[in-house]
Amino acid sequence: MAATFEWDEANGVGETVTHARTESNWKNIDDSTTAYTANPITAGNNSFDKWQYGHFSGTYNQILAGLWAHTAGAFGAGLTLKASPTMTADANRLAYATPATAANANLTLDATSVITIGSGKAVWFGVTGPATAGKAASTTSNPAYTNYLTTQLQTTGSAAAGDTVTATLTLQYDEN
Amino acid sequence: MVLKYLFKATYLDGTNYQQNPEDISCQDPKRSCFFDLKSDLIKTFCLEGDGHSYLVDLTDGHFEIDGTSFCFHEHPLTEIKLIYFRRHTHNFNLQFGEQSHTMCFRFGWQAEENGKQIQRIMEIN
Repeated sequence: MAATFEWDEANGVGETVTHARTESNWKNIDDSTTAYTANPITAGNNSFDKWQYGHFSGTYNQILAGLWAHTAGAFGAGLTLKASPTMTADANRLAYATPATAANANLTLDATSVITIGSGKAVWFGVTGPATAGKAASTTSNPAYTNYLTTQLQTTGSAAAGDTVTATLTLQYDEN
Repeated sequence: MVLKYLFKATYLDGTNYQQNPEDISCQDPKRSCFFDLKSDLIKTFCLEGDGHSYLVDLTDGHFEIDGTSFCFHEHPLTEIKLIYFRRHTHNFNLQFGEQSHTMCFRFGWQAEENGKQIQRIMEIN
């Protein structure tokens, strides 16, 4: 065994959490279950912003050295992936906001380009939930949560019709 | 995730601490075995599994792989402290969910060499 990890997602006005998400398609609906094909994004519009985060439980002593990056799947023209900023201070953590299709100005990191995980943005950890104050570069709290790893796919009218490339997002961390 | 390698710490007095496969601390069931280690009293720290052993000696900083000794430093070390982490990488494919979850083992030491803090870390996949 080691630390147990799952991806969680928050949706709706009340920050309703769904645990252990197995997909993360950007789409024109705020939920974690509807197929993206049922609610596609029309060129020139944005997806609902997606509020996902990492959730740790199980047994561990410490979690640290978190990195996040868009590591595979180069987007075509007219597509921009925006993401929550790198963590250098607790104040960089995003508070939850009801997902919407308006461009989220708090997503200041442009994650459109594919990079290696070693060049990824810093992810911090803390107690209670992803928006809770007190995030730090390491934690001994159990359970523990990353800050929100929020993303939004923004498009222009030049975006090609049909599915985008299948992108891969990577989260890396150390634990002992 | 099953741990491919389990650690064994040998203390300066010759006693051992063996990590259990469940990696549950003897002192706190929410902690891992690493929580139990008396880090200042460790002589050697060894990862064993998959038919191999990887050791670091915290008295002089040398490493051993399957009993073969070597070192990554040139001058005597002081203030040698153990480093041990498991590095997890989760690749999340937006359409197909989690594509892969890999874990590698990173261990070694941080120490002072000629007045400078240095680290030497071995990574085992």
